[in-house]
Amino acid sequence: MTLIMGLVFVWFIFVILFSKWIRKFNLYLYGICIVIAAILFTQETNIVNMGYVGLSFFILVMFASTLSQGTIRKKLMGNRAELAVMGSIFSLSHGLKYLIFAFDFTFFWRAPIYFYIGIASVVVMLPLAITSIMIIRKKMKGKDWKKLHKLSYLFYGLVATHLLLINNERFLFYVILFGLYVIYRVLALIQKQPIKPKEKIKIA
Amino acid sequence: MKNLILGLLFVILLGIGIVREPMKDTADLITGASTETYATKIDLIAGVSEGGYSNSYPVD
Repeated sequence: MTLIMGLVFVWFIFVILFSKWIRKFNLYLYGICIVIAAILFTQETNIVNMGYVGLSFFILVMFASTLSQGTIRKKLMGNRAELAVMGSIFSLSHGLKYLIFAFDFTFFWRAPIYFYIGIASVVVMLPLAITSIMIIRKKMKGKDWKKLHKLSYLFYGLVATHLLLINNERFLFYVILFGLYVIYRVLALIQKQPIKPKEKIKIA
Repeated sequence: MKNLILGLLFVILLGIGIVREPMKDTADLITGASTETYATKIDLIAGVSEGGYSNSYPVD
């Protein structure tokens, strides 16, 4: 909880200070993230392999679109794709690590249900992450891209279910976090509703 | 206003986090150590011994 929220604040400050820079050098940043994830992948227990880093990125991605109009939303939305790709790199490392453990220690077929939900969320995440990279995104039709990225809600749902079913000391934290997201998402949807033009008052 | 409330709630979550999961343990975790606060099942999977003093993962 300390680590996840601490990282959320670190990424938030990073985006606020360097949003243009992040956009400009996004490919270099992905490269750095891949190198870090690959190095940490070789270790047993660390904050990347346990999924904390990936989750911290996705918390920002999730909440960015629910914020009210303003500079903060503008900056977060401007770097949303980059944050999602970086989060995906670290989440993939987490998923692969546990998958390897599952095969190494032969518990793949008798793992708890949250393990399979975690794997499913990584499977859903992959096309979303790949199509978030600008070079690939540009090759897609806008409508198709939007349609595909509706899957992000399924991904958030799977991640929430995965975390809640683990049922550890952070259970309440995850309930509050995803509960907040649902409230903010609904509020954002309500505010987005187009205002109907006032009916013309018929003068008799 | 909405953004401010969310920011405040996040700060509160961080505050509660620091109380429940001390910074020292968090720093330990970042450096790769496993603590009671961040006791992880991956330790068991990886075959880490609990020294016979814990019943967290009783062996049949």
